[in-house]
Amino acid sequence: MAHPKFGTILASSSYDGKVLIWREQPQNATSPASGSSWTKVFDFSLHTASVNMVSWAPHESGCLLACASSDGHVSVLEFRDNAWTHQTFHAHGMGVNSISWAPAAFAGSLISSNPGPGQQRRFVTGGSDNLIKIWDYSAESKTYNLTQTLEGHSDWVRDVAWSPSILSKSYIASASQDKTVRIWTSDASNPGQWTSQTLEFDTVLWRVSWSLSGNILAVSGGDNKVSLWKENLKGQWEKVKDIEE
Amino acid sequence: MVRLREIPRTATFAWSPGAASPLIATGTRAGAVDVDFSNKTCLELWDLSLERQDASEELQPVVKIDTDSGFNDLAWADFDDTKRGVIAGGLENGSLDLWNADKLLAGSSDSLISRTTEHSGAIKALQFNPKHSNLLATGGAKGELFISDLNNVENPFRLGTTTARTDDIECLDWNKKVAHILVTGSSAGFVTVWDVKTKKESLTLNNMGRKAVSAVAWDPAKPTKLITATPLESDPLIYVWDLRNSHAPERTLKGHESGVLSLSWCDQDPDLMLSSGKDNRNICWNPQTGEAYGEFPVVTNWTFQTRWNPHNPNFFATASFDGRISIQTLQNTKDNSQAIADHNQALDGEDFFAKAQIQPQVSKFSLPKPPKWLERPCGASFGFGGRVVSIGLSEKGSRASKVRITPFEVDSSVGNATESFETALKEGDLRSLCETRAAGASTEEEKADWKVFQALLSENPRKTLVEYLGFQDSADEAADSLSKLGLGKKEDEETNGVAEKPKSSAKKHKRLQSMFDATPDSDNFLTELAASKGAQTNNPFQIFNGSESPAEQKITRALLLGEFEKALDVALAEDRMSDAFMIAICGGQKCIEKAQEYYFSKQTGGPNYMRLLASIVGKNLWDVVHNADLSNWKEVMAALCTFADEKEFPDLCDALGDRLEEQVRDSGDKTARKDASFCFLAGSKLEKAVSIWVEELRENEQRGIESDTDNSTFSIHVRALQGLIEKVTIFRQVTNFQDEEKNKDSDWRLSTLYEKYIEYADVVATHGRLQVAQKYLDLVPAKHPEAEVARNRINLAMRQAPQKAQAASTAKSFKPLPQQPNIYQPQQTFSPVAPAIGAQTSYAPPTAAVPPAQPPANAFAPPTASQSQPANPYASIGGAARSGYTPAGYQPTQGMQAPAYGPQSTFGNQSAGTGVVPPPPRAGTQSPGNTITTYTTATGLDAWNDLPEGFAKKAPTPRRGTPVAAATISSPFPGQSPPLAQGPPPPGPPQRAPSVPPPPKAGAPPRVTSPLASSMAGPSPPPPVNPYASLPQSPPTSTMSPPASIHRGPSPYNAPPSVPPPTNRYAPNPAAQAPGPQLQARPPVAPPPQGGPSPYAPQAAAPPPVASPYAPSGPAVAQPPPMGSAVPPPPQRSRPGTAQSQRAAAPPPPATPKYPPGDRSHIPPNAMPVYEILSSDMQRVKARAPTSFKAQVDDAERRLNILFDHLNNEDLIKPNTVEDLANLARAIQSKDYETARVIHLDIMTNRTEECGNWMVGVPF
Repeated sequence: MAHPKFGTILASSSYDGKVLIWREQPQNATSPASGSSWTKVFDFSLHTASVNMVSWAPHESGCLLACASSDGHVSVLEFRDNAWTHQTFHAHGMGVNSISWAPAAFAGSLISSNPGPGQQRRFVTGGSDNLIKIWDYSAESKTYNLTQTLEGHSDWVRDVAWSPSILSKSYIASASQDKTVRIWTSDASNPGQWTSQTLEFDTVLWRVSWSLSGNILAVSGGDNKVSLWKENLKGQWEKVKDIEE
Repeated sequence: MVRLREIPRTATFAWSPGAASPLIATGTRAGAVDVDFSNKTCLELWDLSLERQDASEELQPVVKIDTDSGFNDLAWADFDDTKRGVIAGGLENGSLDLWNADKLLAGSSDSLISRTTEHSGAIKALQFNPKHSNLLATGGAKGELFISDLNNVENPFRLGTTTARTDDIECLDWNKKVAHILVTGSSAGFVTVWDVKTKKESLTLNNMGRKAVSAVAWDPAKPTKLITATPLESDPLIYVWDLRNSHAPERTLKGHESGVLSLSWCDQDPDLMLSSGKDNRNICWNPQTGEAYGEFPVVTNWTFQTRWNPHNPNFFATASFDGRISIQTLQNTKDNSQAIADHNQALDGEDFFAKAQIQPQVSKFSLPKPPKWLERPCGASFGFGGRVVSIGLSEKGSRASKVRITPFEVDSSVGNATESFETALKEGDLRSLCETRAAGASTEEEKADWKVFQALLSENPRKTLVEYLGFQDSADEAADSLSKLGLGKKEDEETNGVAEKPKSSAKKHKRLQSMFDATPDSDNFLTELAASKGAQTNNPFQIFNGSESPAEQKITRALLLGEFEKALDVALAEDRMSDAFMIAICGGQKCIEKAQEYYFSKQTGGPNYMRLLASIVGKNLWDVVHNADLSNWKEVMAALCTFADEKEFPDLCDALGDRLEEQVRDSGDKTARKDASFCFLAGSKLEKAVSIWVEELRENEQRGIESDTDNSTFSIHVRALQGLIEKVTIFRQVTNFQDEEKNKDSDWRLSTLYEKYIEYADVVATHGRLQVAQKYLDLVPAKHPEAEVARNRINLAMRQAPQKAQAASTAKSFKPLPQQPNIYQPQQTFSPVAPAIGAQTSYAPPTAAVPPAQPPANAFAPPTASQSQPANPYASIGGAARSGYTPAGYQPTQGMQAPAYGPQSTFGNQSAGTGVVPPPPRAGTQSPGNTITTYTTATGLDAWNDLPEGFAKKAPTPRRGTPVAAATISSPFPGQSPPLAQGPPPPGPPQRAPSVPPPPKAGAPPRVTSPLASSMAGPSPPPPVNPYASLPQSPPTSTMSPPASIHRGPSPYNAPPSVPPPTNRYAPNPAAQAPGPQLQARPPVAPPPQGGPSPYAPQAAAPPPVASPYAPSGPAVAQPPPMGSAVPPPPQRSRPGTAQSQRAAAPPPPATPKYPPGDRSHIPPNAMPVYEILSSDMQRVKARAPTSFKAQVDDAERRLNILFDHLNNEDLIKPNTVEDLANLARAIQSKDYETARVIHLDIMTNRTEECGNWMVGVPF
């Protein structure tokens, strides 16, 4: 679901390699009972394999949708000037499983007296090559360039999530089939340097999700359990709670 | 599929195990000749480098090792501490070679681990045990089957008897679930299941008549299932067996056209299996169902081996005798004609073998369902407003899943803090709040800020500030020093009364002034002067004693002549300051000033206090502020508090604060920051204070992070933020701060604060406190882009809950709302398009404005015009409408008209039709002069509705927005205006006296509808243009403007709930009608959508004695059909489906009533009782009703009149309805209210189409 400021639009992706974008059409005001209807406003089918994840960029960056596909490519669709454009590039040869945008503002920009260079368009991808890659948009070349590769997982990276909170550090969480979640952090003072901490689980992990603010991490695993984690000031991650059935 | 890579070899191959990037090992296939006819055999490793994007490049082996013989099979498994595992090759010459992959890759020469030659013939197949990768099974010629342990390679053990068999073991497979079970398939058609533990055969399958077996594979999930393939050209079949019944295969897969050579069952998804064979094809099956999902591009020679990538089954490889191994993807969603082209180019014309190849066709391939490894079984995600949404399988093994939404607060203390603060604010107990906060403050700065707030809260902020500065303490050095200055005496005199008191009372209450007063050296010259003035002294003097200098003489002379100024000049010239002052004092204000000026200018080098005094006296404190040494800032501040002009005070404080801040910046001395913030606070300079606080916030946070260990950085951040927001909030309250820049588009001075507000709102929203979040966002200018976004989001998030709440609170009036939630959504959506919305909002205006503009369109245009006349048809409407009421009021009119007309809906956009409506005749009928109110439609209405124009105009104010809208012509939807006209005003003047009197009743309840007002105002006397102009009386045009709707501005974001239209108290009624106590008389024009039981029903019933309170509502309901689409009054919106749509759909043709309204002579006998009883009842009620219910009574009466009109005309109402009405009337007469209600309900529910506005009028 995109930010409401762009309307009630929804992107879906599927195994058939398609990304569809839907818009909710307000129904005739006189018959609310019939509910709203959704119409497909865009059909993107350039991926040749399953599109495993789609992700809307922070609204500040515009109406941008990034798609991760098993064909190894990432595409970024942009709606601007009333038209959809796209860029597709190769990201993970073994297939891209997940994608997550960084917050539009740089880490630390909120609390540092010297704000960074404004907004960024940057995202992270996780692939079946066990890697995590960070991509940055270059305004000059108008392309997304690989700026960092994070190695550590020993199996597929099923999900990545970039924390939306912009405190002093950037956080990326990655969930892997290797039964670990890694939390990668980078200090604003040393942007290119990522260090990771590993949370071990008994099962393969499928999803990680950050809270909108506050850096709580929800981890969901193959055992059907969801647990919430937070970082204490010593920098250790501790479980806050399990969400029970 | 997409062909990713191609290895140009005729070779058997094995995928590397594990999750690392995939390699392929190839061993030259025994019995194949390569393109050079070379008979060299080798083992090679290939890196697929899938991260490389271009697949066109031909792969080169990364490792190549020559071997003695060709390969029949290869296997690769993880082993022990090797990184890349061990590769095992089954050679044609019978030897089993083992290589260490790591060493191979490293290129070291000792990569060969071992070579054993236990087999007497060729090894045909080999495989590592999937669970114990040290166990390797090899099968080969003459039925030889060995199990080798990599830890003891030299001593494999043999399965089965050593008696030589004639058949060869062609294939084997370890069971995937039961580690010690192995199956082999032989060329003689024996499929044998071995128990490696016991080293015995446990089962042999009769492979459908001993057909040769080329491949076997176990089901990856079910241990008893396996598949076999036959290589026979005549019988290219694949059998699926369940060993629980080994007599016959469970299923046969037919698809290949020639012998099947290889099978691969996907480990990750048992629904996927690959096969390849002599027909050069490669097919993907679902072995569980037997369905062939599809096939991959056909090649030009036998495909003798196919294998899933063991770790990423998105890939598989197939080797064929046409000299290549192709690595493909399982899926390809589109025809890749490009790939074909590439291939063609790659053709090498000179290559014999290459020429023989036919290019594979590349085709779409996609599974009908996603493979298992892509199905996410579970997931959790945070949502807006502190929720976690999670999905999970509802039970293990099933595909069904469950969605859970769990509320979650990141930090529960945040929510609590927010709440307690908001509560405190609400209670208004700021002082104690400040105290608590000050007590709890962690830093001096914090404390200082809170203390300042306290000070500011006191009754005399400035004084308290001074106290706060420490000047109440005589021990305070600053104060002392200041007091020593001994100045301010003059001011002391000015403020004498005040100053003296504190001084005498108690030390601690001394104020600055008193301090001055108390100075030891009170021999200040000014004091002296003052004291001596006019006082008798013991020191007589002579005016001239002869010893005077010339100057003295001059002075004396001047004095004697009363020329003080001159005397002063002389004295000054002589530099006799004290004399000069003395003279000046006598000489009046002007002289004093002159003397002061002169003195100060002379004293520039003198003591500092003189300078201060100069500033104070000169009422110019800027000098002090700008030039005083900052170490004395407190004194400066004190001076400001004491002397500064009310107007200048803030700016002075500001300037001082700026200086302090500058100092902070220069020196890095943080303590001064507190002081600066004090100055800003005192000066009410919010923006400056905020910037300091923001800085503090950062530091606090930093400190918190350093000192605290148990919390997350977030909690600390939020706590700091909370502190900031509290401070700002309190400060705003204390100083009554008004943000003057809320309407600016950018460059706000407070933009830092706005950002904090937004952030805070976000945090608070995350903790589920949406209302609070909204509150803070509202403090941010509307144009702030981020706030706008955030606000919209919150509004969206809130739209449901609040609505409910509202509905509850305003239950009576608002009931319809709850049902409507859906309705609102559409509006909120961004589509500006929705005409409905537009109509509602802007509707009012059109009416007024439009008519003139589009005469043709508007049948009623005339009405507008008519309004100019004193008697305003609209006025009545307006009256009804006013106060929240508007909509209702409004509608009523229409409703009434409707009755007159009967079914016809007049209106609409169809101007033409409408035009017809206003029958001139009526004009005649109506008694009142044309000039005056035509009572037009609403007979009864006029009674209290008609207001003089003037009145009407005034009225508008109460209504929010609407009036304005009306006034402004530019309605967004001018086109819609037509609806207004509901032309056919019921002609009949109401019988009731009251009703008739069009005269505006000033006294009438001030419910004026503004819309009307506007309309009235606008149009000038009936323009000739207007066809209707002539009929002033046909005021029918009801301005339909549903005022209420306006509030909910067009903006999609306006959450309707928030704006409960004040309007309709009565709004609900529309709904109510149905239930209502009202009778039905005639088919109201606007068929009230009565959805079943209206929430109102009860209410209706309740007020029995009095005129029905609901009466008014009735009218509301009866909106003229036409309007439906365009103008739906708010209430109706709620029930979108019903009323509006109906009306819109079928506007009844305009019909003219047979008889004029008011005529009662034609009431049919059967209806007579209705008339008689009800009208008498009405009279009774009217007489008794308290004045406060006058409106209702009138309204009820009006409605009854409508009913009567219908009865009179015998239209609209079916006879049986009349019957019921009669019964109802009788019941009422006999006070049998119970029966009456039953009947009423019945009517309402069963004959909705007939009952209209009049229904409501039946008093209960």
